Amino acid sequence: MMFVLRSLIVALGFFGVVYCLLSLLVLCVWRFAYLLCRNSAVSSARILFGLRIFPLLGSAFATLTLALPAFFLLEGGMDEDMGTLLFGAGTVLLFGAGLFRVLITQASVSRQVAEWLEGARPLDADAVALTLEAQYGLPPLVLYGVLTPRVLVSEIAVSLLSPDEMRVAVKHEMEHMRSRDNLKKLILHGAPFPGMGSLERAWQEAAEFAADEAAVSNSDDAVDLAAALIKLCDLVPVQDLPAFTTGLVDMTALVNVRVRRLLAWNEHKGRHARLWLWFAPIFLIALPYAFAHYGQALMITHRATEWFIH
Amino acid sequence: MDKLFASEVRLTEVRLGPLESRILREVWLHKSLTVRELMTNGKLPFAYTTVMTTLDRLFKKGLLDRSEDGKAFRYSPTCTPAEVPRLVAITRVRRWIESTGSSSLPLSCFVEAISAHDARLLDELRDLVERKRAELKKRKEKNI
Repeated sequence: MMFVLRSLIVALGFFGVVYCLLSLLVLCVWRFAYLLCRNSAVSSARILFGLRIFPLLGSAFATLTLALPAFFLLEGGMDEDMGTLLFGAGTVLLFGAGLFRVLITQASVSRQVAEWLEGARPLDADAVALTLEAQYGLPPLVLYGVLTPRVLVSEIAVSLLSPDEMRVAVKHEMEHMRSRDNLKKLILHGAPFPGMGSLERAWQEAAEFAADEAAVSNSDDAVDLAAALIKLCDLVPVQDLPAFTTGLVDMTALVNVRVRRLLAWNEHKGRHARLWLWFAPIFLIALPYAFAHYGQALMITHRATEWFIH
Repeated sequence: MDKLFASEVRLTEVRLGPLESRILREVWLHKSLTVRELMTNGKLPFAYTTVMTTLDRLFKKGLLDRSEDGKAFRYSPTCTPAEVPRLVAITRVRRWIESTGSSSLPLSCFVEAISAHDARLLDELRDLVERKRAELKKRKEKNI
């Protein structure tokens, strides 16, 4: 029992250290990686989110495949010292704080959404999009919900937009739904690290461009979406949307760039590179190498953990 | 005249004293005045130097402009009563930016908020959309 508890503490400490190191690495390199993939908004959004989430996934992966096995296979009966305990406690605190932040924010978002939903009625037959009574503070078009997101449309937006504009605007929100952007926002909220704000902002911008690109399938759609953006921007007061929600004019400062991008839309631009094609060869080379040297990697991890702790 | 009185409340937001408000209203009414003309037209029961100092203060606050007219200055308003809220906003934002020290973050946030709601920008974008719509329509008609 004590051994399992010790392994957990070591794993948490290892996770915390690797998470911080990978986060620092990402902070140093994300702008360069972003520059390489600016041609397609969909690719940019994926890369930026991948980079932001990389420290969390990378440290979890390293902990599960290296730190824990190394501890179970190579650790003797020696007791851990205060250092391990501190690192473990630090990691628990970091992610405990993240979880607390998520829960508190989610509670306030739920309250806000419950207010919006009062008097809501279906707009479409499939009831995916709801139309709401216009209320103070209600954004004209918003995607709410993390696991089962839904699109809310205010009555003002319904009266303001033409049917074509409304169709493509709702499609934009559906693209956010398809990319699970609200869930992504929640994950990022729960994995904080100082200095990551600019990367998160860049990802949000790219996610908006990506949803625009994906929602548009011809030039008419692009013009309709641009017109909808302008009309709704005229309407929206300067206010922030609640966390874990996405609005059509979420980042109002982006409207200028988004409209110009949409007006310059062409079929060729709508296509995006398949990122996995880039990473597949690297993965195929790295996998056999990792298997061949797994034992060595465990030894190094164990020594590194011991050195770090002692 | 109603318009001028309506601006009374707004003027208190730029922190004008009663004399400053009164003189500013006179300048708005007469478009451009020297100290002497102001004293005659406005029937102000104040000393020449008091009015001159007040006009100078309004000039320094950016509410009045002045040009030489013989040996005296001729004062004219830099803004209409309707523009006072804009001036209030600029003054407040300037104070706010100054109070935030060297950090560039508040400034960028401000630029973001302003640029998003810049009416001229939205008009320009609206024109671009209409032009694009017309262009697409023409192209479709050509194809038919």
